[in-house]
Amino acid sequence: MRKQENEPDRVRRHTDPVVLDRIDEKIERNIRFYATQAPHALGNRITELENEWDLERVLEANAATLAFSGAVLGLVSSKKWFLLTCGVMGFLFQHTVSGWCPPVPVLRRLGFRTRSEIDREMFALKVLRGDLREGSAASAEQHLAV
Amino acid sequence: MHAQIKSNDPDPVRRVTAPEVLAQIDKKTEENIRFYAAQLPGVIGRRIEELQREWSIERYLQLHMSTFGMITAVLALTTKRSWGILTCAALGFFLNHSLGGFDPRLPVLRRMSIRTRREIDREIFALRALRGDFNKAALPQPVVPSESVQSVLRAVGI
Repeated sequence: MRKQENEPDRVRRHTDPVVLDRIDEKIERNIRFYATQAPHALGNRITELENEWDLERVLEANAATLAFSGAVLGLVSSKKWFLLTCGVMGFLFQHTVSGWCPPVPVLRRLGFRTRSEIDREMFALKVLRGDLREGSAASAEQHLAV
Repeated sequence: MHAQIKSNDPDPVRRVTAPEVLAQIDKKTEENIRFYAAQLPGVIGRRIEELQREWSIERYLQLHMSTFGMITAVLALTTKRSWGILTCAALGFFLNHSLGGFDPRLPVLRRMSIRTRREIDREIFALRALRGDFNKAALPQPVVPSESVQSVLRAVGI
């Protein structure tokens, strides 16, 4: 709880402490596991993290699909379908201003992470790979160019 | 610096950003990093907090989508149904964006130098490295400051 009060990531601030601990533990376990792996395994994991779908993206895809279906049905069948669009857009608005809306706890429980959480793991792996060391700067650049 | 402008960028928004706009955004990030590299740790710390609270492009886009979507859907419900065409068009692009494609609102926001979370996180990571947060893990020997900025910039892909 304490660490959540001044948490700059709004989604993390509103995540249930138990779920948050589980997410953080998983990040730590991943980092500890990959710290002992060969550089190419680290590279593969970094690529995987770069392509991981973050919470905002999952939420946007869900909201867009639901609201879009509502609007199309509203146009071709009953006007009442626009109520669905309105409801979903209301939740999205709530999420934008507060960082919380009903689907977020569900998605968090499913393990979806925010981009800053993913980036945290990714940068930790980059440090462990030695991307910050003088000699490896060139090899780091090669990795990034892949 | 321009090596990062590539079609297989993992960031979907960077992928659909015009190369000159992308170069401008990256240049700004690099200037920020170089400026704060010369500041005291306390100043860097405040900058990191500021960056953590910076609004990402997703947030601006969601704000536009939700207000525009609500207004047009309410108008479609209460007045002419054809208002729903606007709702549909905006939501179609929003869906396309979430699947990694283009949305006409993106170039407008990008020209206003609005960054993605990944771009903001890169600057945060670079500043953390320069402040010495990873010294025990990555930089055992003291290095020449200008060289360390250079290697940090490379590490974050700028």
